[in-house]
Amino acid sequence: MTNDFFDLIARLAKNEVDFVIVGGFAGVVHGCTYVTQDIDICCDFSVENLLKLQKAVCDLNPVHRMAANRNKLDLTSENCGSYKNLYLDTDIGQLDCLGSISGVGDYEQVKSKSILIDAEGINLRVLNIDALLESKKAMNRPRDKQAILQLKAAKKSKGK
Amino acid sequence: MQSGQNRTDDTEKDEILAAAEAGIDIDMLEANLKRSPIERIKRHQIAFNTAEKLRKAKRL
Repeated sequence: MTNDFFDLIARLAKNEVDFVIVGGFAGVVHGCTYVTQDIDICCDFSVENLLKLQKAVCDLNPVHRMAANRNKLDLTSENCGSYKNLYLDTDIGQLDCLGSISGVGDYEQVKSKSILIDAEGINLRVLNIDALLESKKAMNRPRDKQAILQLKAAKKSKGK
Repeated sequence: MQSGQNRTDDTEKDEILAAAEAGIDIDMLEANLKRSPIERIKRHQIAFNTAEKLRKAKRL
């Protein structure tokens, strides 16, 4: 498997999926130097948006990575409503799709606290540094504590 | 009693110092902040790929 996180998020953007990059990868965008193993996004869990998401990754053999049998992603208009989060594994990396973010709120609140970046002509929404800090504080795992230290230092360094 | 400006300076110093004391390479962080977001993403990808290659390497 060859991971290509940028390809993964570029596919989502090109397929007009409504999403915001959150979690560790958002920290990378804000300057954190750690290496993260997956991409977390917060997205609109409407049927239309989830079907766009599925279309974006359908040729990457997406599976539910948390399911015991790692069953294939098979979203339909009928079953989309049963998901609050999607934890996927694809041929080019893990993609966690979340309907809300601890410490920030639902997708609309997350989107309202995002910034837009231009990544090689692709516009991507990324959770802003203050909201990312709030989400990391809410999670408060050991890796979140490391991220908080980096984000706070990055914020101060940027403000110099 | 400290002036308002001194309190701000101390807070900045504390947050960068706290990160440094936790083992975070501040020089690396500050160098990264000079890069654009897409450059940071690309460098992360290089670091990830390198780490993956090393993780999968077999002992001779």
